[in-house]
Amino acid sequence: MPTILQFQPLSSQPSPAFWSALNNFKLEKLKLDDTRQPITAWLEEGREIADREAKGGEGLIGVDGSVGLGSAAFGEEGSHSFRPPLGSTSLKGVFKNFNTVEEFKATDPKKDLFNSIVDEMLDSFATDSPNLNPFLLVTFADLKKYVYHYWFAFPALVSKPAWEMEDRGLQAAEQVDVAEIRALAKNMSFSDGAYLIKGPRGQRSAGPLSSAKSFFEGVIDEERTVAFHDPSSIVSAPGWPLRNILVYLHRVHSISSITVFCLRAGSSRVCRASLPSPETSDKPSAVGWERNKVGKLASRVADLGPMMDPMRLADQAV
Amino acid sequence: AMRDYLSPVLRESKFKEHGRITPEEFVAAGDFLTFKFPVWQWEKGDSSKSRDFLPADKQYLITRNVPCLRRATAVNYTDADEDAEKLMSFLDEAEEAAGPDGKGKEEDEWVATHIGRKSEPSAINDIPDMTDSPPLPTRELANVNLKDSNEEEIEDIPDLDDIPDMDDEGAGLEEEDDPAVRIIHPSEAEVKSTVGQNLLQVRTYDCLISYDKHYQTPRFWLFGYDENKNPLTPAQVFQDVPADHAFKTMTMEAFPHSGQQLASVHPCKHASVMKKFIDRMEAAQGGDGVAEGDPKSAGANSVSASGSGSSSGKKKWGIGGVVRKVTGGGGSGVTADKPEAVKKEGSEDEPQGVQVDFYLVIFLKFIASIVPTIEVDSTTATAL
Repeated sequence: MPTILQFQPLSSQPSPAFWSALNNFKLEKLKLDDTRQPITAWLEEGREIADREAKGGEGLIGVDGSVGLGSAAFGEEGSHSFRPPLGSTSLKGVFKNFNTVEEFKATDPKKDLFNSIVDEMLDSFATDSPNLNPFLLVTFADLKKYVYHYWFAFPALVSKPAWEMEDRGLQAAEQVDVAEIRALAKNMSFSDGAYLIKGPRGQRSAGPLSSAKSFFEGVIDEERTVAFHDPSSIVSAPGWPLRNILVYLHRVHSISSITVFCLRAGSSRVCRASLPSPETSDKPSAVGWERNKVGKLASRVADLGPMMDPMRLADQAV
Repeated sequence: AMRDYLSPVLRESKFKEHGRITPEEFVAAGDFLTFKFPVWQWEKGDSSKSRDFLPADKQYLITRNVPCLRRATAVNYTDADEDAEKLMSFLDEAEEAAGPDGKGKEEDEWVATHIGRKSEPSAINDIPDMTDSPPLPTRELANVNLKDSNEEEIEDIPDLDDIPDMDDEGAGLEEEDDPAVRIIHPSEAEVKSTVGQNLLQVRTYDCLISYDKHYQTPRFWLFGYDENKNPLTPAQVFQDVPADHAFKTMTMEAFPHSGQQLASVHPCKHASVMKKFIDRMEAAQGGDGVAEGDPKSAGANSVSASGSGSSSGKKKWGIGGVVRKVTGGGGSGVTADKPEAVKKEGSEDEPQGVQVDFYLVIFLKFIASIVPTIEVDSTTATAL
């Protein structure tokens, strides 16, 4: 029995440097402007960490890659100010800061924002450079206290019926395949951290997602592959970004069966995904607000007062 | 900070004599580290706080999301394989009560490292969680905290706690019950990682290395996240620091390039410790040098040396030999875009001996002995 393909949700990880960048951005550029702003994050691949203390040899611990935000998230002056850490791909998003906590808490503005990003993503499907994994960050910054309320959303289109994974499940990929597929992407810059692969081992070639129709022309199903940088480290589930990639490939390029290659910093994995029957609805619904650490849909708070408040720092410095 | 301000910038190379380095040497060593181990990156930091004796885009080094699998209190190191060079012992809780004794130890004890050393995890059933772990002097840090809305009340923000429609709002935002989302209940994940593997939770740390102008050494900083990527409180960070060091050599201080309070290893002993490391390595290298011959043949070896990581890693103080291979045999194993500064520094030194490029790699091994549960020393896995 094929099983429903489940996806490991993304998790956000804004660094302290990001919050201080937000401070400056708000004070010097935005001021009371609460329009949406472009923002850049990075997405790490899932990793495996050797546990040196494990009993009876090497245990491997999976660490999911997270969506990281650093000091250059708002794109400062200077050309190469944004450098994602090694092995990460960059992720474009939309940032909106609300000026009052009431606005931040209200449902409708957030919902509208979310929907508009989904609509833009769907519109981009028709273009040559679809933007498949945009993210949304809404904040309310209490600048006097250095307290930041924030909520991330990683919109994902819901496929009905859901994609399924074939019996073999998510298997470990062979090293020779990983090396070849990674090498193919080296000299080409693919957006969204994903690209298409065709051909047998040793003779593979790569192409961008938007060319799927022509790229896969005359290629048998078994040799159609999509590779993506996978933030998941779970052995049974690929990461969140794959959702929109699959929906895109199906809706725009009528692909309903494909091999998925999950490129991870640990051991990469591969599975065969298929859609039992074509999607029916015209417009897919979307999900993706980040849950807090108890698994609820709610915003989070970062209180950096102790680290950044000059008054409190002065108290400690005595 | 005042002392830092008043201290002159070190100009003359002192690293062989005192273990101290100049800013130029810090940059050279940093270039080498980032080149050899690209998980490390240069950062430019807050431009208003940049130090003029360092290049604007090379203010400090950072590596992100370094895993920390266990709390320091959950790992008791055995002394079964103790040798003369490994003097540092981790006090268990009983010894900790004796407290101040630890301070009287000699400098030598800094030179301990637990790299590759076997340890006995403490009894599996007895996983200390936050409340069970030994009391930390958190009172000193009473005003340093990073709270999460779900854990603690935040008094000053009105309405935050009673967000009555927040749950409803969530339901409004997400109408679908989505079978394709893999939601793990947090407790389930925790249970999975703790039972059977004796793990508490996988925390991750951003590790930073700045240059300390007063002590003329690198300085090490930590910023941690819990398994849900929320920032750790200082008290939580100190759970990952052995009791020997927490609040003594490891304290919360303002990170010079951002002003934020981060946990840091105080650098007052760094120079003497680094000198000892370097001396030992030079001594060991003298022995190696005879066997391995001139740099040319050593260069030829470099491929095999870096390939068989585990075997060369066992020679504890043979790192110096690898230094020479790496710098001497740059053409063979390594691509051409090696930073100029590294070459220059390398050729000025005598061909034998530890070169300053390697300073930060050694430094990380030293740091790894202070925070053994945080895997700062990615260099062991990669090349040695």
